[in-house]
Amino acid sequence: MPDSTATLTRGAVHRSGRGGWSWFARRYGAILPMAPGMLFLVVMSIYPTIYSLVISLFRWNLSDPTRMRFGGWHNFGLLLTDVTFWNAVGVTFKFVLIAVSLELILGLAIALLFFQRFPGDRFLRALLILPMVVAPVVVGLLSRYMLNVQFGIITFLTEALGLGRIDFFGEPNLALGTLIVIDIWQWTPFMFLIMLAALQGVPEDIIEAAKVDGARPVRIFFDHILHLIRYPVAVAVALRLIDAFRVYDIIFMTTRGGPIDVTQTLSWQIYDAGFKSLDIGYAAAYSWLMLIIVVATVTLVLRLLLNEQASR
Amino acid sequence: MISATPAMPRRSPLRTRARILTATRAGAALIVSLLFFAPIYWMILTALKSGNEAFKATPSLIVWPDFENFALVFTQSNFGLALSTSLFVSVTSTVLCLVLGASIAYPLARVKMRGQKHIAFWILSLRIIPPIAVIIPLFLLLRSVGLTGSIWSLVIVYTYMNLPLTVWLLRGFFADLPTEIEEASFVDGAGRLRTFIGITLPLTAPGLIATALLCFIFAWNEFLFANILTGAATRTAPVGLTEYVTPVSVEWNKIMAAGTLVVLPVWIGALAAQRYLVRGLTLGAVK
Amino acid sequence: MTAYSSIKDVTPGVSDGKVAGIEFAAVNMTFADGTTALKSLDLTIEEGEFVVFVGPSGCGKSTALRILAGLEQATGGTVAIKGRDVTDLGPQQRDIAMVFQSYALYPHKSVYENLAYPLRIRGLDKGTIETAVAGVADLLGLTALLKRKPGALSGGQRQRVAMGRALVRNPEAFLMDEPLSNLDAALRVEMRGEIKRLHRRLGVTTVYVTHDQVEAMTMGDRVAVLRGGELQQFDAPQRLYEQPANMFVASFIGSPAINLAMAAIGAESSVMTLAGTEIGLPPSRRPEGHPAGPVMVGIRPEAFSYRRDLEHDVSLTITPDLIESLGAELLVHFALPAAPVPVALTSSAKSAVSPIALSGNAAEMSTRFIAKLDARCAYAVGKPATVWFSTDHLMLFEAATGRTILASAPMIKLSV
Ligand SMILES: Nc1ncnc2c1ncn2[C@@H]1O[C@H](COP(=O)(O)OP(=O)(O)OP(=O)(O)O)[C@@H](O)[C@H]1O
Ligand SMILES: [Mg+2]
Repeated sequence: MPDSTATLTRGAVHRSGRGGWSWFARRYGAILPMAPGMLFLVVMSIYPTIYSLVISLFRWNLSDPTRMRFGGWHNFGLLLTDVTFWNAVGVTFKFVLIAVSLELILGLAIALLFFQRFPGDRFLRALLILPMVVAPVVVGLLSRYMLNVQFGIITFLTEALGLGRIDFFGEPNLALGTLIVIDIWQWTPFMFLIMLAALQGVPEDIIEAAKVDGARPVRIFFDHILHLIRYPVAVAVALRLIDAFRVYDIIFMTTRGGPIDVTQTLSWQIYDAGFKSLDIGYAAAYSWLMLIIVVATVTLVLRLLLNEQASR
Repeated sequence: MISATPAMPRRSPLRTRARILTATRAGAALIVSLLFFAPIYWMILTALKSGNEAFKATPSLIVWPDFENFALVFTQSNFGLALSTSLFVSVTSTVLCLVLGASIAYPLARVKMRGQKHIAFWILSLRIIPPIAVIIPLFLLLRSVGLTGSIWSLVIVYTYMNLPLTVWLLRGFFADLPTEIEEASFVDGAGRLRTFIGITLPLTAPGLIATALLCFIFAWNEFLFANILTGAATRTAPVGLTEYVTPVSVEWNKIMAAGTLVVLPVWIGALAAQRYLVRGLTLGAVK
Repeated sequence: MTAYSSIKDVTPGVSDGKVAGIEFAAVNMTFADGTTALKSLDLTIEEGEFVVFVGPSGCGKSTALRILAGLEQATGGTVAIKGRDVTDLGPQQRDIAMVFQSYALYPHKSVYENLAYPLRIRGLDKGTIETAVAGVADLLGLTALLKRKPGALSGGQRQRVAMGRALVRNPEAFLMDEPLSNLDAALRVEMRGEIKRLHRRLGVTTVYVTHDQVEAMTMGDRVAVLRGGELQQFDAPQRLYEQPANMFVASFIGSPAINLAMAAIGAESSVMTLAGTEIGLPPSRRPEGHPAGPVMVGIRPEAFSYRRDLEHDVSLTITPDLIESLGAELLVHFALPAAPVPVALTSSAKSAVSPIALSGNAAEMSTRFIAKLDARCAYAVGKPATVWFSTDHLMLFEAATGRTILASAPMIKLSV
């Protein structure tokens, strides 16, 4: 961590002599309140970081905690040659990329619907944003209930439509798609809120100038507005990516990685390795790889979004 | 609306078109909103259904509300305890977050110090780490101080989890307050602490409350840590919920009633903080 | 205002001898980012004086005031208030009151609470606070507004509350940073008078920051003109106008700004060539000791007259190219016939002239003139005419540095 020893850079400190409590109070008094919180953050983040870095280099299974052998890159090597790891990478990317991009598009589209006021829009907006504050555990239970093959409301609908009973979580071809739809249901409102705020932040005179220039609404949207909201879009996408990579609760409540391995995400596998197989060295190495993947993806997507838009 | 000049036709074609457009948009917005709300409606409806109505062949869309399920949730299980545990953990960690967060954010917003930006971004970067990646070391850390299974382990973890968000939000709210107002108070003779309590806090109260609500929501909904760090006596509501689902009996009415109880306080909070929700969810990047 | 002095510190070390109200000694200010806002400021303000800091934007006026208030720590030098060194004291310990440009009222407190705040902090009892606030409210006509929040006040009323908050506790000094700049023109003139009246009544040392030279001239007992962090001149308004220390002060004070042109001093310094016209200089108006060569000459627009009389005996033939009417007077714009001035000299003059006087390029600047003439002159655009002035009104500045060589003759009553 750079420069955690912050000092006041206001002048004139040198004039009054050093030493003593009053000198200390004048110089550091204003930033002293930061100490407890910063200490807490440092301990809580540095300790796990170092710990996990160290144990990732060890072969250590808690089912036999006394046998801890240094393995070097062993865990990493094991991971990179493991098909289940690469399967999890594929599943996670499919989930994250499809869900987030659809959420962005849908969120933006709905924001356009709400951009100009109409009677009752506040009430509808209040309804619309509710899904994102529903606890993921509740979302999992609710979707299980609604998709239940015997008595779920969705099953009732699919039967009414002549599609028969569909086991959305049990069918290998459908399980991941179902999870994606659930994620879209829960998080499109988030995108919507941010896109709406972004659209409302576009200076009106720019849109008016474009109108006066004779541009049609569609042109204005693609030529100007999309460019002007690229920063909020980037922030929203980055945050959603970070959160989508974490997906765990929903899987825990529904598919638990199955059927077979079609919903085995990185988060799920780390949990599996750490708390079921108790192979914590392996889980730690896994965590590091996941962190690298998340950071790299977010960076890459941000760069794509901001550069491509800027070069228009 | 009455047109200003009587000579004009009351409805110009342009205005009629605008009306139709607005009506179309409103209609589409209505459908979309209902679509997103439908599952939630279904949950509440099920919670209010009595007995076997939940498993009827033709689901009914409207029922006479029956609060029996809610009563059963409290009487037949420990869910009441889980709710109160959740409440305690969420409120305590929220208060801790605000206190620690404000004492970091205020100097960060007001005092010139070396490496200010680095500190702020380091704090923000903590938000990117997936919880699953730190859960094992955190678990071992908390176990080594004997806190696993204790309610305090969750308080600590949630405080840690929400602190970066809190710092970023509060920093923004403090920075938005014109320095001159605080300077006026200094000149009027008030010290830093008195100015902070008497001037800064009241003026940033809406932001503080919104931040508190967000912290509360995130702590309240959290499951991963709660599942691993709690014992039978210290279950939070999300963990308690999972135990309703047993292979033997699946009482969906009660599950939905319990789910509604988990979701309800958070909705009220979210609706109250709507104005700040965007800012909060984007860590202050979008206002 | 209620007389109450209980909160006033008895300043130690104040003897009967002369103690300055406020003293800046070699105050330097360099911000963390390297910006130098003040360079060795030396300034002594008498007890009870009304002093105005004036200068173009970014010249360091606010910085000087904030250092005086203790809101900013100077990087060098000392500040004293009533003989007490306050350099290392926080704003709380300085016993000064300040009116901010944005007023900085506490938006969550009523007008009454805003006014009472400084007294509450000093722990005064309820009765004292009530009388003090009532007195100030009465003085400023705020009595009817005491229950309102600042958000429900007009700009002028807010300004009064800000003043009231400063007045209520009888401080050692009032500091005001552009307190009137958010008001409309009429209200500004009204408040200007009111502040002056208050000052006369209370006699508290006041430092007033403005970028408006009219405010500075009308309000200040003395005016400090700053430029780029350096004090240019600290003098009574009339002296700034008649005896500016340099070309910057000359062009900053007065509206419309002083006319400036390149001219050449003849070998004997008895003759000056301006725009190809030779003007004889009487013995009292000769730049003694100045070598022959280029100078900048300045003539205030008010110094011109449309007719010849005892005080206006030098003529200039002009062709007005724009005439603006102010009612009683006309602003007659004209160009001086191009003078054969060497290019090199023009550019050195350019650097000496303030950015304010510089409209367009230097050559144009030196030949654009404005004369403020009685409306009876009935001059017309495009019709050649004659304007008169006196060598008494000429100011001469060093072409290279802008330093004043010869100010206008003192005690001259300028015709309007
Ligand atoms: N906190 C700061 N950090 C860095 N530079 C500053 C700071 N405050 C002021 N400055 C710089 O110091 C110089 C003087 O600023 P100051 O505010 O005193 O000007 P001013 O005379 O009050 O101008 P104005 O009439 O626009 O208010 C300017 O160049 C300004 O940019
Ligand atoms: Mg200023």
